[in-house]
Amino acid sequence: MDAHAAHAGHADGGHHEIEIPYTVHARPDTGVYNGKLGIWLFLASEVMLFGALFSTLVLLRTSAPNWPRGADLLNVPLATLNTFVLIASSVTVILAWAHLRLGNLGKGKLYLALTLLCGLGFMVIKTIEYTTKFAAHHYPSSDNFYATYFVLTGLHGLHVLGGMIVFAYLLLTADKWYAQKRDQFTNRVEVTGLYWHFVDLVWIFLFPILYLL
Amino acid sequence: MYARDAQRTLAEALRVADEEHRDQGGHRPSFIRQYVFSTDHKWIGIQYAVTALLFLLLGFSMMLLMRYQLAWPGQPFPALLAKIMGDSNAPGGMMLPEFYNQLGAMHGTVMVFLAIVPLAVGAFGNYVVPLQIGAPDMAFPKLNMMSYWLYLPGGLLMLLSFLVPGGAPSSGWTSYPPLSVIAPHGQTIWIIGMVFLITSSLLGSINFIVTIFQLRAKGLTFMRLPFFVWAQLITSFLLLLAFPPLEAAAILQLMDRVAGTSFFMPSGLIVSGEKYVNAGGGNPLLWQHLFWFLAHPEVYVLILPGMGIIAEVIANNTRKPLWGYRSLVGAGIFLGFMSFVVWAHHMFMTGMGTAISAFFQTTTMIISIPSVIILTALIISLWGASIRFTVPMLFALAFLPMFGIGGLTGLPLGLAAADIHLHDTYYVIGHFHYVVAPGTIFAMFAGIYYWFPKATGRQMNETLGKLHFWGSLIFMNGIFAPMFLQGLAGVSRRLYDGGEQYMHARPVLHTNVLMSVSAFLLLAAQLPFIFNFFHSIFKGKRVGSNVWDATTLEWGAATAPPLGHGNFEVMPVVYRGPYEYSVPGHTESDFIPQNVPDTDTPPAPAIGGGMLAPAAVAQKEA
Amino acid sequence: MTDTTIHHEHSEGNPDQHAGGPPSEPFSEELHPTHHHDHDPAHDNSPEAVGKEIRRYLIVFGVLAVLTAVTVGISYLHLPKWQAITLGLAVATVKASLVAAFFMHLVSERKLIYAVLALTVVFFAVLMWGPWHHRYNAEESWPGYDVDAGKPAPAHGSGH
Repeated sequence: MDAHAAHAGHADGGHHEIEIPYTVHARPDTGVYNGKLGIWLFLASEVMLFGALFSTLVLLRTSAPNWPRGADLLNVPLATLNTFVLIASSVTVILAWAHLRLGNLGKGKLYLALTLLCGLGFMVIKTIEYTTKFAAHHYPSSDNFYATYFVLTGLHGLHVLGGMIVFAYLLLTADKWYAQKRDQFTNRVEVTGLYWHFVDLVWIFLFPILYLL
Repeated sequence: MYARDAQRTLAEALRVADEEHRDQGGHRPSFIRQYVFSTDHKWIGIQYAVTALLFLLLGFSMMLLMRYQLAWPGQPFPALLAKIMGDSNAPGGMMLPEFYNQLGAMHGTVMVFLAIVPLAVGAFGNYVVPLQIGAPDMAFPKLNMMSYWLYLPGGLLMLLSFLVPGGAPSSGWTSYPPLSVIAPHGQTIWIIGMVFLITSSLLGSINFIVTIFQLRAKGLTFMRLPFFVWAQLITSFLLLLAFPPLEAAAILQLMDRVAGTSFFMPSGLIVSGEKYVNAGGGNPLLWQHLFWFLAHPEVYVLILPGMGIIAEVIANNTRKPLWGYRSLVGAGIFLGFMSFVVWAHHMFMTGMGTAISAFFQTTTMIISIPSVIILTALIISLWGASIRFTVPMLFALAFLPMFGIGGLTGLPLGLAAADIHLHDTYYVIGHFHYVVAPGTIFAMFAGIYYWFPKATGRQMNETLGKLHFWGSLIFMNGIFAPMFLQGLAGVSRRLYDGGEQYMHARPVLHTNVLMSVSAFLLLAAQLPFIFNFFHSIFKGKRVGSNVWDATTLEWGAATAPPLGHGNFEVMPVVYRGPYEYSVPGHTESDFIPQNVPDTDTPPAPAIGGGMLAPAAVAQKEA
Repeated sequence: MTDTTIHHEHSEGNPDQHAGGPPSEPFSEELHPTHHHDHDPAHDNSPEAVGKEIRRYLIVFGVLAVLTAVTVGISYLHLPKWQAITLGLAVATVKASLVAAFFMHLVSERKLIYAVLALTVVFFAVLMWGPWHHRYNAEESWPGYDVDAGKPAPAHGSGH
C-alpha cells in the first residue's frame, strides 16, 4: 500500500513544511522506517481477516454432513499453474527491489512490469475458473462448499487486484520518483513487495486447503 | 519553555498562518486543502471532534425517543416529535414496534462506532498524541486524512438508512442472523457502512502505532510516556487485530443477504410461514463468534482512552505524580491482551457446554483484575493530594465511582450461572451504560474542558461547566441505576413497551417513568455545555499556553498551534517522566515540565539504571 | 513515591544516549543523514551482497516450485483425511516460512516486527479455536445429540 510516504516534498502539490522523521531511513532503536512498520501492522490485520475466513471454513466444513473433496470439483491443474505464477511474481518483485538498490532503474522497472504481468496472468486464470463455474451453474449460493470457495478466493483476488493497482502506479511514476527521491521510491517498492508476498502467502495456504483436501 | 506565548484564539492563529503562507510567495494552500482535506493532525482531530459530538447528540436523541415510548407505551407522542418520526414510523403518533427496534439498533451503532470511538481515538488521540510525544504530526498524515474521510461517509450512509424502504437496521447493533439476514435493506446499508468504518479504523490504528513507536521526541522512552499515550497505543492494537474478523463476518453476512449464500443460515428455516429457500448448512453461532471477537475488545477501546484522559487530569489536579505508573502500564497491556480471550461471555446462553463456559468465565474473572488495578491506582493517586476542583477534575473524580459501579456490576454477568438469570435483561444495559456513560463520556467531557484551552487559547466557563457536571451526574444515575432493579426482576432488553405485558415486570414498571424523566433532564443538563462550548470559542477568557500548569509536552506547544507548520518551534527533548509535580527540593514551582533539564548538572546519560551526578543527587535530596 | 524520574531508564525507547545536547538541534541527524543508504547489514547495497541475495531468492524459488509439485503429488495419493490435512498444512507451512523468511526478509528483521507477528499468531490461534469448539460441546449440551449423525460413513478412508 502506497500511501505511507510522508508529503515531505512538493510531489503532491501540497505546501507543507512539515518533515516527518524516519520516513526514509530507519529509526535507530526500533530499526525500521515508518512505512515498513506500517505495512507489517497492516499485514497483521490481514492475517486476522483471512484467519476469520479460514475459521469459518473449518467450522462449516467440520459440521457439515457432506462436504465434497476440492480436487473433485475444482480445476487443480489450473490452480497449480496459478500457484507457480504467483510465486514467480513474488520472485520478480524482490528482484525489482534488489536492482533498484543497485541503482539499476531499468532492470527494476522490468521486474516490476513482470510482476504486474504475473498478477494479470493470475487474474486471467482466476476469471477462467470462475466463468467455468458460473457456466456450470455453480454459484456462491449453490452450497457452502462453493460459498467458501468463492468468498475466500474472491477476497484473495481483490487483494491481488489491489496490489496490481499499486504496482501500476509505481511503474508509471518510477522515472520521476527515482530521480528525485531514490531511497523513498525503493522503500515504496519494498513495502509493496511485502504486501505482495503476503498475498502470495495466503494463496500458499488457500491452494491446498481448497483444492487438494 | 518553547511556548510562543502569544495569546491567540484558534481563528487568529489560522489567520496568521494564512498570512505567513501568503508571505512565502503565494504558497498558500487552498481552503479545500487546508480545512476540508487537511492532513494536519490537529485539524483532523477537530473534524473528528465536531462530527463525533454531532453523532453523540443524534444517538442521544434516538434514545430520548425510545425512553418516551418506554415511559408511556400505548400513548401517542407529542405532535412535533410525531411529525419528525413521520407517518410510516409513528402513525398517529403511536411509535411502531419496528421503528422502536430501528432506534434501538441505531442508537447502539451510532453511539459505539460513530460517536464514542471517533471522539476518544479520532479526536482526542489525533489532536493530543503527536503533541504529547513531541512530534510534528502523525507518521502518515495523508492516511490520517483518509481515515476521517472514510468515517464521515460511512456514518452518513448509516444515517441514510432511515430513509430507505424498510427503514434503518433493526436487528440490534449486534446484527444476529438469521434475523439480520432476512431484514430489509437498511441492514445491507449497515454492513456497507461498517466496512467504511472498519477501514477508517484500521488505517487510523496503523497510524497511531507507527507514530508512537517512531516519532517520540528525543529522551521520551516508553516509561516516560504519559499514560494517555499508552492507553492510545494499546487501544490501537486492539482495533488493529480485533476489527478484521468483524470485517470478514460483515462480508459473509452481505453475501448471505445479497448473494443468497448460507454462511449463517441453517437449513429448514421457515420465515413468515414460508420455507426460506437456500442451500442451508450455515451456522448462526459463527456470526456471534466473529462479531464478539471484535465487540469485546471494542468495549476496551471504549474505555481505555477515557482512562488515559482521567489519568492526565488526576495527575494535573492533584499536583502529584500518579501512583503506580508501572502498574498502570502493566495492567493496561495485560487488559489489552486478555480482552481477546473473553468474548464468549456474551454467548453463555448459546449451549456452549460447561468446559468452554468455564474457560471464558475464568478469563472474564481474570480480566477484572487489571481493571481494578487501574482504578485503584487512580484512586490512591488522590491520597495526600492538593486537589484542585476544576471542572475536568470534577468529571474525573466522578468517573472513579461510576466506573467502579459499572465494573462491579459486570461481575455477575461474567459468572455463567448468574448470567443465566441476567442475560439479555436490563441489568446488562445498566452495567454497560454505567461504564460508557458516566464512565467514558465523563472522561470525554473532562478531556474537552481540559484541552479546550490548548486548542483555542480560551478557557470554558467554569460555572456552566459545574452546572453541566452536576446535572449529568445526577440524571445519568437516575437513568441507569433503576435498570439493575428491572434486570434483577427479569425485564428483558429490547422490548418496545418496556415490559408492560409481563407479570414479572409489573413491580418495577414504574421506574420507566423515572428513567425517562431523568433522560429528558439529562438533555437539559447538556444545554449549558453546548452553549459554553461554542460561546467560549469566541468569547471565553483568554489564557496562556499552559493554563493548568501541566507537565506533559503538549502544554509546551504554542496555544492553538497553527496548522501545517508542525507543532513546536524547536523539537522538544525530554529529560524526565510525565508527572513531575511537587518535586522535592524544587521550590520555584510545584511542577517541572518533561522537557526541562536539570539546570545545575549535566544531564544524566540515559543508560539503563542511569546514575545522576553527585551534585544533582545532593540537590534532589536537599 | 514514583518511578518516573530520570533514574529509571529503559534503553529500549531511547533514540539517543545523550539526554542532553542543545535543544535547538531538531532531528537533524535523522532527517538529513550524512549517508545515503541504510548501513543496516541486511540492506547492504554493494553489488556483491545484492548479487548473493539474488542468488538466494532464485534458490528459494526453485524450492518453492518443487514443494508445490510435491503438494499436488501428495494429493493424488488419496491419503486418509487426517494424514492428508496434516501433510498438506505441513508443506504449506514450510513454503510460507520460506516466503516469510527470505522474500519478506524476516530472517534479518528487527525484534519489533517479530513481536507484532508473535502477538498476531497468538490471536490468530485463538480465533481459529474459538468458533470450532462449539461443535464438540453440542453433545454435552443436548444429551443424545449425535454430532456425526447425517454424515455418510467414510468410504475408503479417503478425505471426505
